[in-house]
Amino acid sequence: MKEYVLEVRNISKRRGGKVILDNVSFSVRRGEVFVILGPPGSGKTTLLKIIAGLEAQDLGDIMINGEIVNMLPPYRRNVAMVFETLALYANMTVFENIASPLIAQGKDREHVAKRVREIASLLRIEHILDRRADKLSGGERQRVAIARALAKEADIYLLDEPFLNLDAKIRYALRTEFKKLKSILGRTIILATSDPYDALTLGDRVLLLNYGRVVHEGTPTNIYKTPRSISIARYLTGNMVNEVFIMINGNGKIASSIGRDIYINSEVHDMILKLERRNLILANYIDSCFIDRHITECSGVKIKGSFLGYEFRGSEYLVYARTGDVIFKSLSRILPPGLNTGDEVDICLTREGMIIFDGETGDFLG
Amino acid sequence: MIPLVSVKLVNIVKKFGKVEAIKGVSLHILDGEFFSILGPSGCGKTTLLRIIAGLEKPTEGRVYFNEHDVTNLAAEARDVAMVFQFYALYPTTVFNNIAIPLFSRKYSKSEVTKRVTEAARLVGLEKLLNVHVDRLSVVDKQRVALARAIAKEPQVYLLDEPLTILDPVSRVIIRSELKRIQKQLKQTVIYVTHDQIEALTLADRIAIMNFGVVEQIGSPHEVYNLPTSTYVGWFLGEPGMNFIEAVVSSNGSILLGNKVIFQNQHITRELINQGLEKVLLGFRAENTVLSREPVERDLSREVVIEGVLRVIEFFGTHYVLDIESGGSELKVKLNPIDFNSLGLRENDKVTVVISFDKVLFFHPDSGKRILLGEKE
Repeated sequence: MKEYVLEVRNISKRRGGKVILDNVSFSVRRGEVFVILGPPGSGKTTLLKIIAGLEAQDLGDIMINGEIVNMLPPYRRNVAMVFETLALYANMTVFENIASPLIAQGKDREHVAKRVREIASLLRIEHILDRRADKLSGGERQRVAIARALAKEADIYLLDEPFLNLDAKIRYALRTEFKKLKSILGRTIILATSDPYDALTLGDRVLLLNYGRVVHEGTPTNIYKTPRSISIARYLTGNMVNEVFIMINGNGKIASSIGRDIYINSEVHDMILKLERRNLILANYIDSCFIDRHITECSGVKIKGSFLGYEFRGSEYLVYARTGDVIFKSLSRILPPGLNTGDEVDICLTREGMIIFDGETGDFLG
Repeated sequence: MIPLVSVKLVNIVKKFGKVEAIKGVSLHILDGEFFSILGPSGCGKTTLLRIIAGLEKPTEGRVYFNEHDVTNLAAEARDVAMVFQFYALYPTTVFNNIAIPLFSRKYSKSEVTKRVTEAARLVGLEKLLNVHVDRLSVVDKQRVALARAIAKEPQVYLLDEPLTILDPVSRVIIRSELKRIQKQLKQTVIYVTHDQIEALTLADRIAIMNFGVVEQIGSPHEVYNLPTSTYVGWFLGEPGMNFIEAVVSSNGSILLGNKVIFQNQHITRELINQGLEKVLLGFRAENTVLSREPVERDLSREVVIEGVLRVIEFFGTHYVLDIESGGSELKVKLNPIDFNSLGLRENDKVTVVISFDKVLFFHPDSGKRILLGEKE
């Protein structure tokens, strides 16, 4: 058996003179959950449709099980595209819910019944097939939703924004359930989403798409820890990244966007000079930044700022501070006591959590 | 000086046709309190706010401002100011926007100017009074809406999701201002939201609503750490609280599956005295300690659960692990450093330890918290 069940090679697509997809290539292994992540309008849905054969590419090849399928119609590609979200039809039974995509496909009764029972037994929901969807517990509902998505027989399942428009709590639970069932099902799933959390939590590998181009491909931890550009870091975290702009002039002097209230640890200083760039962005995610009234030891960059406010999230606080127009955020289990808006604080971006980008291109440097 | 006003709701019921939107709510909001009503959409929180404002009449029950029964009083006569998610500003200057509601009250010109300037100063708009609102940022527009409410000098402020349309940083800025202004004016603020972070951050006390009923009232720390029902525990936090069903044995043990996870005669005796053979143990994902090997533990002080790691979820700043044990599932939250040092993989055997002071007991049928004499 071929290692890759799907190979997408140099796919390009224009629509009305506009570039939708620009030379997109990637390969998906059998049994893998492969996430295509990108903001709305990045070309995700078009890409899925081209794989499914519902739309034609201008250039490039789609290979399934090692064979080029460019000329094959959708029904001969053995690919199932699931358009609907994972919300259920409340007034239908579990059986009817799971059967609905098969009936829509025009499958005969016997086939539908057999297939529904198969997938139900796999997901351990045979005993609730006759129950109405609105009478199910949370966990049961999620299993039924997944069963329906995977009811069709196919080599590859394409899911377009399956968690869209779901309440946050349900989305969270459904994701976990999905991940739990992954190994049982052993299916090859390609999931398109604009929510970075879907990609980080579910993907074996993630392809990041922007304006129809592949901007990064890797495992979730890999794209998070070494994002190829500052804009990827911002997108993945919903702007929960702290940034300091640094300028290095000819004689090795360092200036920053913050002004003079910045203290750079000597090791970081050396590291910056070694990179031999004129402009840099020093970035830290919110869990490697500290804000407190006084910070004496800081392994990276220490900045003077003023306390802005905080968010209480139950398990943690998100503490905000600012220096001029630059906002810093720190995730902390305790709230620095006695701080009022406007009070002076120290901000520490640790060296351990520091990611450095080129200040001009935004590219990842280290 | 504006008198301090407390708001009391007594057995409020509101029906829309056959639908019961509010099913008997009683609340006592103290004077000068920042009080938040939190719940998912459709829980009845906005209806409740409209009843307090006088925009909606309750089907049953009474509304009091201090000792005065205002149930039959029209909205205009109640002296409340409302701020909504979508500020409706007039296409004119900041000054006029703040002043317009005052004209209907027949104040002298100097009184209007005084009130407008004062309110603008409080929200930081004093330099923008002559600017047309079209030229303002979203944050400043919301400040105008707030200043307009302040200028009325109402007895009670009613806010309905006023920050939803702001970006996260603006929200933090306006939130701290709101809190500062409220502390300064010492006025009663009732703040309705579906956003738990908003309520937990701002409120002195929170009422958590579900299907027209108030589930719990308490300080942010109380409702998060000591939920009185499984609903509140589940609703607050991401992930919500863990609940595992365990068997109470008369020999002093609490069992999950056939494994003893806790051993304490006092506790089990009390549970059995309350007629409980089964009980739900509730604890937060972040209050757990995870290890690879079974360790010697003091089962009278710690709950120890051996299980299998089923799912690893990476969230960037943390990991959430799903662990299966004796037919139950529980979640453990770990920071990336701890996670990496454990070197865990899916299907590994793990031991979860929860300090007993972080464990709550809930009734397996009603979902209500069980109070134990020794614990509370």
